[in-house]
Amino acid sequence: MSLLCVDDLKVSFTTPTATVEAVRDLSFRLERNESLGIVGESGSGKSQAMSAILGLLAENGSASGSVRLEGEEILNLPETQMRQIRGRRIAVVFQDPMTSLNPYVTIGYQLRRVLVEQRGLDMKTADAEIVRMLDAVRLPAASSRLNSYPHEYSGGMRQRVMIAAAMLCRPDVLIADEPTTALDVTVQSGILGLLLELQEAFHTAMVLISHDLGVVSGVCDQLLVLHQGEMVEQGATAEVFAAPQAQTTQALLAAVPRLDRPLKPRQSIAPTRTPLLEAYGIRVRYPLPRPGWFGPRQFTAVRDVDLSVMVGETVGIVGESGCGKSSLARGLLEIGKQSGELRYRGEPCHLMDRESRMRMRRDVQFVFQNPLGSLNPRMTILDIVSEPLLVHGLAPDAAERRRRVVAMLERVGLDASMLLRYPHEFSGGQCQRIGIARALMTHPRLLICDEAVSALDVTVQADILFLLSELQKEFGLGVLFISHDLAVIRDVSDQVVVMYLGRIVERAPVASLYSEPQHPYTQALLAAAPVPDPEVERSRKHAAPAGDLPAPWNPLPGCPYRSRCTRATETCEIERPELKPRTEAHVHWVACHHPSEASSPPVAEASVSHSS
Amino acid sequence: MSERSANWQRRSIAGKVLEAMRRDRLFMTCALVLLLIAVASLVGPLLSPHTYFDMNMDAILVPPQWENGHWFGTDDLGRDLFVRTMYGGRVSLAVGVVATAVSLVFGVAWGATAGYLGGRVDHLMMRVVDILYAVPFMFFVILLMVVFGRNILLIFVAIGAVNWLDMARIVRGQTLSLRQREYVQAAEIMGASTPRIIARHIVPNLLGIVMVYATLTIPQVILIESFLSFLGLGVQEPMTSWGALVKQGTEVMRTAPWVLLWPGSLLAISLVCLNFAGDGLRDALDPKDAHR
Repeated sequence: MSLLCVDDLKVSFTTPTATVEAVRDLSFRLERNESLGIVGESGSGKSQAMSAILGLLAENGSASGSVRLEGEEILNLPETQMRQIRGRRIAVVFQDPMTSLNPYVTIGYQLRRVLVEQRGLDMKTADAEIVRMLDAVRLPAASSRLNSYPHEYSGGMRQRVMIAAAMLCRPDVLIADEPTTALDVTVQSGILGLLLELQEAFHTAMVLISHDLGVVSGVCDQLLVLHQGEMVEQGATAEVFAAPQAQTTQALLAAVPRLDRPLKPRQSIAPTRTPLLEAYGIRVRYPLPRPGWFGPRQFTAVRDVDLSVMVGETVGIVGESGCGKSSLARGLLEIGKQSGELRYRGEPCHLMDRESRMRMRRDVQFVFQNPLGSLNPRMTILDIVSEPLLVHGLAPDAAERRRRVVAMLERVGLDASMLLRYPHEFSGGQCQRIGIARALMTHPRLLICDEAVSALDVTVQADILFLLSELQKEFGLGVLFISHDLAVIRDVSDQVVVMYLGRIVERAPVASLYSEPQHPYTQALLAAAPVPDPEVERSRKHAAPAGDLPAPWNPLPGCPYRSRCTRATETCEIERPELKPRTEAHVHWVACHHPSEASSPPVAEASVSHSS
Repeated sequence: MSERSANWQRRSIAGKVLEAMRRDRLFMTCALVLLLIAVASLVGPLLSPHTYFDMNMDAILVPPQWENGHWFGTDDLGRDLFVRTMYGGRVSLAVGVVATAVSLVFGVAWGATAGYLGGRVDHLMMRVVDILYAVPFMFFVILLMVVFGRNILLIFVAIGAVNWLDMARIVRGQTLSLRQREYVQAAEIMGASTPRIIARHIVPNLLGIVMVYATLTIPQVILIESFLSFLGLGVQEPMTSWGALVKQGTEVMRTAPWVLLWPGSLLAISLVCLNFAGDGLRDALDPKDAHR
C-alpha cells in the first residue's frame, strides 16, 4: 500500500459567473522515501491540488475524488480531524519565507509552539529537539540564535527555519510548494541539497511543486506535469526528461534557457564600437532610515562602477539579489542619488541642458520586473501606451496617437481590441508586452530591462525574449539586460557583467565568461544554477557558496567576497582587488587576487559530454 | 480611425462607470433618497403656506396635521416644523457638501504634493499641518465669530479649515507608498513632469481611499455643524439647521416627540445613505470592479 494515494482528484471553484475547474482527475501514488515533482505553468492547478489534499482550499472551492494517507481517506475531513494530520503527518513549506514567519515572535518561540502543541513536549526537551533540527538544516550556531527575530535572518536562513519547523514533527509527507522560487540560485542550491539530505535521514516522502524544471530534475524520482488542471504526463524523472511524451512537457523543456547547451551564435545585429551610454565611477547611495547626528547616514548600493553599452549591443548584468544591479540601472537613469560621470552618446549628462536631457529620457527606456505593477491600474491600455508620446509631445493629434499605439501593440503581438481595457484584465505575459510597447513608443536607442522576464512562466519568458531580440534587430537597440538567471543572460547577451555587493567582479564577452569564468563568485553562481537534466543534476553535489550574502551596509575591508571564498588568503583580507584585464586583448576583466584558469565549472564539463 | 470615434470610445468608459453604478441597487436607492431629500429641502418650503420664522402663539407644539398645513407639527414657539426642517436640511447638506469638497480639494492637493516631493518640502508642508492641528478648534471658531461676526459662510470656512488636515495626512501616507510603485517610476523615467505624475498617476490611485474618507467626512461635518449650533456658535436663529432642530427637539421630547423625530430621522437617513452611496461610488470608479 502506498503512503499517499490520490485518485481522481477534482478541484473546482464557484465564482459568481461560472464554475472553474482548477484540477481534473489527478491521480498519483507516493511511497516512503520517494519524491514526486509536480511541474506546470502558473495557473495549471499544481498549488490548488496540494491545498485540496491539505484541506486548505478557499471558501468557494470544493474537492472530490479520493486522497488516502496509509489507506485512510483524508479528503474533505472535518477541520478538527484535519488539524491532527496537517503538520503532524503532512507538513508544508511555502514559497515565501519572508511572510511565513511571524515577525513579532522569536524563532525559538515559533518552533517551540509546534512541538508543544503537536507533540506535547515540555519546554526543555522541545528546545533540545529544536537545536538538533536546526543543526540538521545547517543553521549555524543554532542554540544561540533561538531568541532572535525573523528579520535578523536572511531569506535562505528563514527558509531553513521553515523546513526545520515542518520536519520537527517527523511528518510522513513533506509538501514543498515552490520552496526556492523567492531565493537566489546560490541559496536555492543549498536548500535543494538540504531537502535531499533530510529525506534520506528521516525517510520522508516529498512532494516538490515547482515551475522550474531544473529544480525538479535534481531532487525528484517521479515527475508529474500539469497543464490547465489536467495531468498530461507522469513517469520517472529520467524518462520524462529523456523522452517527453506530452506536447506541454516538450514545450516546457524547449523553452527553458539552459546553461549546458552549446552557445548559439546570436543573430542580432552586429554590435558596433560606437558607445551609446558610458558610465564612469557610478555610485548610488540610499539614506539609511536612522539619520545620525552629523548628517544622514547613507548606504552605498553601487560603488565605482564603470560600464558602457555600445550601439546595438546587449550587456547582461547578473548577481544575487542585493548586489546592486537594479540600483545601478536606476543610477544610469539619474533617478535618486548617484554620483559619477555619465555620458550619453559621448555627451556628459551633467552638462546637458533641459532639451537634451529630455531627448535622453526619450531615447533610454525601461522595462520593469513586475508586469502588472508597472502599469497604472486606473489607466486604459491606450492611455498607458500613448503616454510617452504625450510627455514628449511627439503626436499632438489624438487620432495619430491612437494609430501609432495600435501599430505598436500589433508589433508586440497584441491587438487593437485591447485598447480600452485595463491592465488587470491581462495575463502577466500580455502585461509585459504592453510594458515593452510603452517603452518602444518613443523609438528609443537603449532599453534597460530590469528582471523583465523573471516573473513569467518559462514558455512566456521564451516568447518575450524572442520578441525582445526581434525588436532589437528591428530598432537597432542597445540593451542592458539585468537578471539573476545566468541561463537567460547567456542567451541574450554579448557582454556579461557580474556584480557582487555593489561592485563589478567580472566582466567579459559572453562566450569567454561562461567557458572560462575567472572569479570564484562567478564560478559559484554557475555551479549553483540548476540544469533541467536529471543526470547532470544528480551527479553534482549541491554545493552552495559558503554562507549567505553579508550585510551590504557593512562592507569588509579587503576583498568583499572573501567571507564566502574558498581561495581567500591574507592578501584578500588587506587589499581590495581592482578590476583588471586578464589578457592582452583587454576583453576579460576580473577583480580577484587569485583568478583561476584551471578549474572550470561542472556545467561546462557537462555541456561537453552533452554536445558530443 | 477618426477623432469622433475616439471620443465615442472615451465616453464609453464613463458609460461603463454609469453602468456599474446603475447595476448597484443599494447605491441607486441611496442616491435616490438623497436626491429626494435635497430636492425636498429646496422646493418644500415653497409649497407650504407657512414661513420658517413666523411664530403662531395659538399653535404651540401642535402635532403633525394635514388640515392646518403644519405637516410636521410645530415647535414650542409655534413655528411650522416642516418648513424649518427643510431649511435646516439646506444648511446641513450644504455645510456637509461644501466643507467636504473644500477639504477634499485642498487636502488631496496638499497631501499628494508633500508625499510625492518628499524630503524637505514634505517636512515643511507636514509641519504646517501639525501646527494647524495644534490650534484648538473651538477657540479657532469662537475667534472667527468674534472677529467676523456670525455668518454661515464662516462655518464652512471653519470646518473646512480643520477637516483638510486629516485628509492631507491620509493622502500623504498613501502617496508615500504609491511613489514606490513601478508605474510611477515608469512615468518618471519617461520624463513626465511632476504635476503630470501627481495628476495622472498619483491622484487617480488615491480615489478609493479618498472616496471612503470623504463619505465619512460628510456626516462628520454635519455633526460638527450640529455641535456648533448646539453650543450656539452655529447658524443664528431664526435660521436653523438639523443640528439646531435636534437640540430644540431634545428639550421637549417627552411632550412633543415629533419635534425631535423629523429632523433627527432625516439626519440619520441622510448619513446612512451617504455612507452607502460613497461605497458604491468607490466601487463604480474602480476599474477592477467595473466588469463584475
